[in-house]
Amino acid sequence: MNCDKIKNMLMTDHLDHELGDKKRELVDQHVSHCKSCQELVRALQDQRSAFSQITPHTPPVQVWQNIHDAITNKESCLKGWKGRLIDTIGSLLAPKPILALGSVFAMMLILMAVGTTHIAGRSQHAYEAEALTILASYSASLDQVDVPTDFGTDIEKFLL
Amino acid sequence: MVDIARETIERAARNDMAAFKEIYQAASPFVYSLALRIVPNSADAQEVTQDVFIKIYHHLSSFRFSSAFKTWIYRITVNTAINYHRKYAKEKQRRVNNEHVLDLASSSSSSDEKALQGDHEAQLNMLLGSLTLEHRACIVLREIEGLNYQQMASALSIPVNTVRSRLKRARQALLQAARKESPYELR
Repeated sequence: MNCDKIKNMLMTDHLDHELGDKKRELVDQHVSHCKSCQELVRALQDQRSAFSQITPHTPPVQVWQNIHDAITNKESCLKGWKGRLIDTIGSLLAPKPILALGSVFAMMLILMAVGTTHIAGRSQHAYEAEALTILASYSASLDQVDVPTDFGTDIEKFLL
Repeated sequence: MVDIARETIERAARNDMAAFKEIYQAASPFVYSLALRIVPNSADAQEVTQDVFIKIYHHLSSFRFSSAFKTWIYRITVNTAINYHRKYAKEKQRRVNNEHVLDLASSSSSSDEKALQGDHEAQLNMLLGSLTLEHRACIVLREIEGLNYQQMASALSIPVNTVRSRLKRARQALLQAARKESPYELR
């Protein structure tokens, strides 16, 4: 393995303990007699030890308060929306004063009865009138079957 | 990050606020610290932390335990912080050299930023500022959180080989930046 390849490994897998034992051994052998690679290893180890001293920071208390408020506000908004829907359905299904309901129902029945009778009556009369007219014209035509009065064309009249 | 019991996660998924607070207490130092190293200042890091935990709360019921809970939180945090940085600090997005970072550090005023100054953590933070967002996230997950390559690949939704190449480039950039300015050379 050449130096560049070794350096690539030193900066990644070797430093991060992602190399297998065999490869690690090969890399270590090279580093043991390569000054440039030894320098790189030192620099990388310094970098690592500098990062290892970093301690995590705790966010200010206000951050949790803001998160809590944002979540509970959204939930209460949702609850409000659902609540309004339930109220509307409930008001539609809620028992109404029996007298008012009864009078509305009675009015609807009366309107339906009057409407049906009127339509039915009208149609009955119309049918009867039409049937009488047809019968009359039919019987008249029957009466005239044996006594032809119209001979059609002038030639027919001449021949007859 | 401190381990979080499955039972706690399940309770939080059923909107149990006490359980959710337990998750917050266990994970918020990591989330906030990672955010602090990706976005430019502590106010933005607090905003990112809030966004992350609100997302966690609303998506807990869809978490199926097929992956580790920690990795899931890492993924949400990294994505949220990077998106936040791109969205709100695009004009300020910087791939600064050490001098620029120095200026920024000297002008920062919040308690967290002051806490970061005066020790080598401030120097590291400045050096991290010279990296791209993706490289920064890689270095923080590896060096501070101690994730292995597989966990990093899962947290960042990238192949393991991409983790390798990003780490290599990030380390090269850090070494170069440290060499440039001797006062900020890594110890």
